[in-house]
Amino acid sequence: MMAEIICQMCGQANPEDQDTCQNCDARLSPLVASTPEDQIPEEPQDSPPDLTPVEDQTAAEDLPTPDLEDDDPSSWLDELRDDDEPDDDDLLPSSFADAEEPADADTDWLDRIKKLDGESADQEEEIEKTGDAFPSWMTADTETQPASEDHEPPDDSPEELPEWLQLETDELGLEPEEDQSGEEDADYQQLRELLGEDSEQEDPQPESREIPDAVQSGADREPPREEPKQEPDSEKEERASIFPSWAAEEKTHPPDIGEIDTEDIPADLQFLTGEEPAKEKTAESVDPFDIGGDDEEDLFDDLFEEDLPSWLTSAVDEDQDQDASAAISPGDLPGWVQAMRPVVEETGRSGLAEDEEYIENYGPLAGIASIIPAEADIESSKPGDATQSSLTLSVSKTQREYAELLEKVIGQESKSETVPEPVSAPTQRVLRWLITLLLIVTLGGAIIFGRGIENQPLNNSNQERSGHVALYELISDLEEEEPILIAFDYQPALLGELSYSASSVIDHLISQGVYISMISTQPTGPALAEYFIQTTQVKHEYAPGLNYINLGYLPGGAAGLLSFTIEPTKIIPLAFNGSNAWDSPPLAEVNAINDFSLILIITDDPTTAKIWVEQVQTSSTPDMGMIVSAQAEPLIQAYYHTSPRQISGYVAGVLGGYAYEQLSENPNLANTAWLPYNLGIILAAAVIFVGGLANGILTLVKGQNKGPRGEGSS
Amino acid sequence: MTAVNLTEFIGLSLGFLLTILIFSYLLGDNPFFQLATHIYIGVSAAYVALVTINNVLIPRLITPIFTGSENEKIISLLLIIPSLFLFTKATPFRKAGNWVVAILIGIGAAAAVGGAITGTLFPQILGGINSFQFSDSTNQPFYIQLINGSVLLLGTISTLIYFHFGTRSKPGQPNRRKKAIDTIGQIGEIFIAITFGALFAGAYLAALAAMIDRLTVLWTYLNNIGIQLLSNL
Repeated sequence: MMAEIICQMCGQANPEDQDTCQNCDARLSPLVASTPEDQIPEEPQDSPPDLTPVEDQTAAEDLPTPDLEDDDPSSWLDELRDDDEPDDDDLLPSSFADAEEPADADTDWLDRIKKLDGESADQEEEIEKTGDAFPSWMTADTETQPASEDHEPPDDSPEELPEWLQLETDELGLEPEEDQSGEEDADYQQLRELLGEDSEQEDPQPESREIPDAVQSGADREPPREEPKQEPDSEKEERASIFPSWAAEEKTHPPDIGEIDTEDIPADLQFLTGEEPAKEKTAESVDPFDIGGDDEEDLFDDLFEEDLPSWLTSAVDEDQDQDASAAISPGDLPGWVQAMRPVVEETGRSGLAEDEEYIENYGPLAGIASIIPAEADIESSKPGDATQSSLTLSVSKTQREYAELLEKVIGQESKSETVPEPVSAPTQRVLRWLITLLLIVTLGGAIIFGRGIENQPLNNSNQERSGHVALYELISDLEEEEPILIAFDYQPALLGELSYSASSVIDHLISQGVYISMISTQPTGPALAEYFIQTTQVKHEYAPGLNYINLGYLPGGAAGLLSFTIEPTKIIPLAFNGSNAWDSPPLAEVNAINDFSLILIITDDPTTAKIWVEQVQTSSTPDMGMIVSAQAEPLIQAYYHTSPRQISGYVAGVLGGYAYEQLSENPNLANTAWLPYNLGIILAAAVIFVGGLANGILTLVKGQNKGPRGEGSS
Repeated sequence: MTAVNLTEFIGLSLGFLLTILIFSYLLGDNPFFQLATHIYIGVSAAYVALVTINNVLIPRLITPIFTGSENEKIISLLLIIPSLFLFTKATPFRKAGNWVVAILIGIGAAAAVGGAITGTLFPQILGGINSFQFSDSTNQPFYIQLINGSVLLLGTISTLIYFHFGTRSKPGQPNRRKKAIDTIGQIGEIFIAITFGALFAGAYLAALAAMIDRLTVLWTYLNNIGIQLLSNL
């Protein structure tokens, strides 16, 4: 069976002779074999289980070992730059590295880190005295830390390291605090533990504070590097194109704020000046390994010592829960959360470069990329610089036409048009006066001189279907002391006409001895009712309260009428004169509108008559009669001539009143107005006929006059 | 002249004077006519206010608080605040006034719609159907009843179709109704014209009756004045 090589990237098996994976094209064998110096020295018991196939281990053993004594000083750095590819150190298991453990313990700088775990502070001081042996990225950012009076800054200078490595060192702040206080030593101790555990499996780079000799020698041979502040802008731009923005910027280059008075800058923005105190700068800068307090140290230990972070494990541990709640406070993120952020250099920019990824460097979102910067919007939106973007709607032709039509209609509504005063021709004014004079003379003459003339009886050929006949029969069937309800729902202007129509009907009712209850849905109705009784029924000498009662005004329109239909005693408890309306014997038994024997509506408005019919009339409603004006008769007839009838009978106008008087053989007001009424009708018909005839003649004459002119002109 | 006669005389004199002022409109709009109309409007408004206060608010809202039963007191107290909608423009209770107005409009509309359906629409439809139910009780010949029913049906349908203004637009042609609908609508227009003519005639008859009444009042007043004058001589 042919040996197979398992791809470390995708896990697919590949033939032994393949250099790259058939699945993912990843290199199966490393280009540079690991050397014993590159291996991470660790205790066997601490090494993770070896999961690499035996074939790979064998292949790794066959790899050529690079000569670290090579003259090329950048070989070690080249390996670092090839981190994008699966490195040989990543591929090799720790057991393999253990087998190749070098004998020279003095050059094993990782071993020193391991020893730091169990050594005392004195041993640490000894190691730190050899701080020049540590890589600069493992050293804390001495520029951002307050200088201690007791200790000298580390000997390693940024000039001895590659530029990008120096940059990371500065930014990461991995170098321990120079003041050897106990608290900071504890921080550094924990950091060292973490680095020792993680870097054994992931980071192929030596994690000791000692720089390998090869690197050290190479660094020594590098040409002296210029000071970062003196670096030309072109190099900055070039570096910015290689590294992310947060890495391209150097902390040694604070923003130029020479002209800004730092005292005027708020305390929250002091970090932008780059000249804030060292302690504040340390607090403001986002240090991924900066552990704040003791509580955060506990959280940090829990995070990496257990499978779950402490904030999850503390859900079942009340003590730890209290510690975590005490450590987490608004605006003060835990250290392990801050450690998850990438280190961001203060940008000094308020806006977002067009083709550059923006990384937030302030606030809770610090370190997160692709954040929409609020500063850019604030800066760009200066008062008065707002650009007006046009709102172009995509409308169809029909929509545009509708919009124009609507705009035209609205525009016409807003315009006040002066209505020209109609210019009446002198002939029209003369005709108006002439017609008025004719009416006054005719009607006045009939009123003055016509009292002695006996009126002719009406033709009774078709009285069976007449409304007044039905109403007469209905009233004639009423018995004495039966309660009836009369609604006076008309305007005062129509008092004369409705007096002619209703006088004989009311007289007939009083003659029947019924008890009349009057009501009105109009405020002027009660007064008109009283006036009607006192002027047209004087001969009966009816007294309010004894022979009739005025219930007064019923408010509410249709709703009030409906409620009165249901419970009249509660809707109108008092009469118009303030007395108890329902104490009189005829009304004592009235609890609903159905208890009335007849409902008679006197109105000049067909709408009012319709409301009464619609709201009051039910299957058990008593008979309903109406006395209406002549102008409402055409609309009321529909309720009478329908089958079944909705109103039992009606009297309309002077004609109906006169017919009712003749039927009851009791001449009344309609009889006195009958002659002038007929003369007025005849006069109106004559005026209409004469006017129409004159208009026709004038039109004919104008047509004849236009004819010859038209012919002549043509 | 007794007090009753004096009051009646003053009333008749005012009626005569105001009637003459209104008749002055024959000469056109003039200050006398405007004075009479202003007096009518002012007196009517004042009278309506008094009737509303004396006949509605006091007996149905205020009096039950003091003399009514427990239920009437509670209802009256509850109605006090909603009654402030009368001052919706000037008081901070205009929100409560809005609720009252909304309730009034809602109840009024419900009552009007329900009454129109059950009191007019359905009975009139039933009446139109029953117009073809011929019987001998009307004492009319069969063909007369048939003609009446047919005219009623034709008038109803043609009038309703007249108010159908829906058209179909065709490209290049003006929007017009269908020819059948247009023809039936013209028939309905005839019925509408007859109806308006009847209404105009009724309005004229009502005005004629009112004029006769006013002329009668004027003559009665002048006659009484003459009698008084003649009696005093």
